[in-house]
Amino acid sequence: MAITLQPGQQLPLNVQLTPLPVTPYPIWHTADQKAAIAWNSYQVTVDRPNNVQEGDLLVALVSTDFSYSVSERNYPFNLIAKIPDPDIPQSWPTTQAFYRIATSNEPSSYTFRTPDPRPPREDPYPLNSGFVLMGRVTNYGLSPGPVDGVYGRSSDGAHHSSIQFHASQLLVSVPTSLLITFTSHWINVEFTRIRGTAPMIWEILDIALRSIRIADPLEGQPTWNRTIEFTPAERVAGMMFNIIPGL
Amino acid sequence: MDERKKGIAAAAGVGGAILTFLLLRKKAVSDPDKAELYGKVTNAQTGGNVAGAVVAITGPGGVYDAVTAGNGNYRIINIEPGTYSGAVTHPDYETHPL
Repeated sequence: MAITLQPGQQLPLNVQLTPLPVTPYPIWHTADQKAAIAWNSYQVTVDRPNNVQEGDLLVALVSTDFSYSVSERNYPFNLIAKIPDPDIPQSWPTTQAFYRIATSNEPSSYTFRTPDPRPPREDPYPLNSGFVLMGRVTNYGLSPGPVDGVYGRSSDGAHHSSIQFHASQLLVSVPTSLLITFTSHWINVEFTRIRGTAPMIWEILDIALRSIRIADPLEGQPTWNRTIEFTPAERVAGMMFNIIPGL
Repeated sequence: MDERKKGIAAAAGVGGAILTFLLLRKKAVSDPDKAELYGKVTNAQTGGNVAGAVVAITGPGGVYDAVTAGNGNYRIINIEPGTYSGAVTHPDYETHPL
C-alpha cells in the first residue's frame, strides 16, 4: 500500500487499529529465571533474573535445611508463606516464598540469609545446601495483592506412603490465576513422582538427594484439578499459591 | 441585554477569536505547494479513539510523523508531494501498514 500526495492536497486518512491479543493470565518467564545454591553457609545469593523491567513481579522461592528461616538482606521482600510455620524442631527442609515489585533500579543480585547463628547443633551451618530460585512474572494483578490463596503442607519427619497437595484446597477467588507449586523434600527422588498436568519448570538435585520442584501450569483456569504426590515421602515441605491476573 | 446574555456573547467573541487565530496560524505555516495528511485513529473493536499512536510515512521528502492526540486525531503538514509508504504503530495494537 502506498499514499500518493499531490501539491496542495489535503488527504484524509482514517485508520483502525486491531488490539494485540491480551494474555488473560500471569506469565512466569522461565527463560529469565535464575537459581543459586549455597553450600555450608549462612546465606545464598541469586542473580537478578534476565530482562527485569520496572513493575515486574519478582518471586523468590527459597529452600533451607532444617527449620531455619531466611530474611532478605539489603533489599526488601514481602513474605508469601513459610512452610512449616511455626518452626518445627527437626523438621526439614523449610520452604519460603517472597515477592517484590521491581523498581527502576534493581540490584544485580539478591542475598537471603538466616538469622544470627543459633546454638550449636549437628550441622555447623544452617544452609548445608540452600536453594533459591527467582523468577519474574508479568501481567499480574495487585488488587488486593499479587498473591491470592496459599496452601502449605509439611511432614513431621516420619515416613509416609505418600503426601499429596491438591490445588482444590486453595481458596481461589480470581479466575485465570497462575498456580505455582513449590516443594522441597529430603528423600531419594527416584521414588518421587509428581502427578498432574502441571509441568515442572525447575528442579535441582544435589548430593544430599534433595530437590526442589516447581509445577507451573503456565496458564490459568478458573478451577484446578491437579495433584502433587510424593511416594514415598519423608521430610517434605511445600506450598501452592496463586498469582492473580492483571486484567 | 441582561448580564447572562452579555456573558455568552463575550464567550462567543473570545471563542471566535481563538478559532480565527488557529485558522490563520494553520494557513501561515502550511505551504500551498506541499501536501497534508490528516485523520483519526480508532480501535477496530470498540471504535474508541486511540491516543499515542504514531503515524509515520517515508517517501521523497523524507520521514514525516505525528502522534495522535487524546481524540485520536493527527495531522501532518508540509509534506513534499510524492508517493509514500508508512505505518501506524502503537504498543498495544497490531501495526497497520500505510
